[in-house]
Amino acid sequence: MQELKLENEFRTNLIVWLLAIALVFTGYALLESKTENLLSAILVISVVKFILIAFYFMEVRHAHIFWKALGLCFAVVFSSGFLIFT
Amino acid sequence: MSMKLNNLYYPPGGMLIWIIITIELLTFIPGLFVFLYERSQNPTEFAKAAQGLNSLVGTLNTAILLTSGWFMANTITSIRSRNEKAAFRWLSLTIFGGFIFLLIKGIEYYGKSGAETSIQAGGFYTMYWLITGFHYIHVLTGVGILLAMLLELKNKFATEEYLQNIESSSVFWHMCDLIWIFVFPVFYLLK
Repeated sequence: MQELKLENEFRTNLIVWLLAIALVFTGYALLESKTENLLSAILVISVVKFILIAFYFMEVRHAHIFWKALGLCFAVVFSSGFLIFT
Repeated sequence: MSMKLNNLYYPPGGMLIWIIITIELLTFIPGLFVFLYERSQNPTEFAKAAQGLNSLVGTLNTAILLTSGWFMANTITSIRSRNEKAAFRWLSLTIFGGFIFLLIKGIEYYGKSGAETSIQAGGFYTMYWLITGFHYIHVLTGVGILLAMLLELKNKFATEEYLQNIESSSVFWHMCDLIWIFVFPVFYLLK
């Protein structure tokens, strides 16, 4: 049972990494394609990557709701500033 | 997991590392806001300066840092499954990824050491050096911490103390990813 759980953890790590890498290169592809909504796309990509790393690699998904809320607050604060200043 | 994680007073990696993360993010995010504000005041100058950064190299370096983060996550899983050899392998790869990131960034810094792109150039490049340089120091510190953990792995592998220390080190390493996730688009993708 424990082995199965750890095996699932390796699989989850792999999926999160693949998603994060795909998002990194999607950001670059959007920049090169000079898409109209580049700023919004960059912001969404950054926030999704932030959540993936914080909640999965840093295991905030297992943490108390306070730490989950704190993680999301940082994403919201960054997004707000990004939208205000760009 | 070294302790039950769903505990307000014991977040993953321990309370102290999360106080550090909170302070770090509260330092970097306003720094990025200052950059974005300055950019909004001098859009032409900043857009021209941003052309001097290679977005593809920045993208590849981001991928390397995130890959190193994946290796770190696998290190923790290996330690929890009591697989010392796998833990050693994953942790070594994590450190190697950190070195590659630092090397590529170092080469970029070397190319930007001229008068027009130095820290004293003002505007875009002063902020670039301050913010990415501060992040560079964090990655360098992270590599040092992980090297120390690698040296201790053989002797202290099965101990609860080692598990707690490696979990805190892991969270610190991922913090470098988190900060870079915000720094990277602001400098390399906003053209």
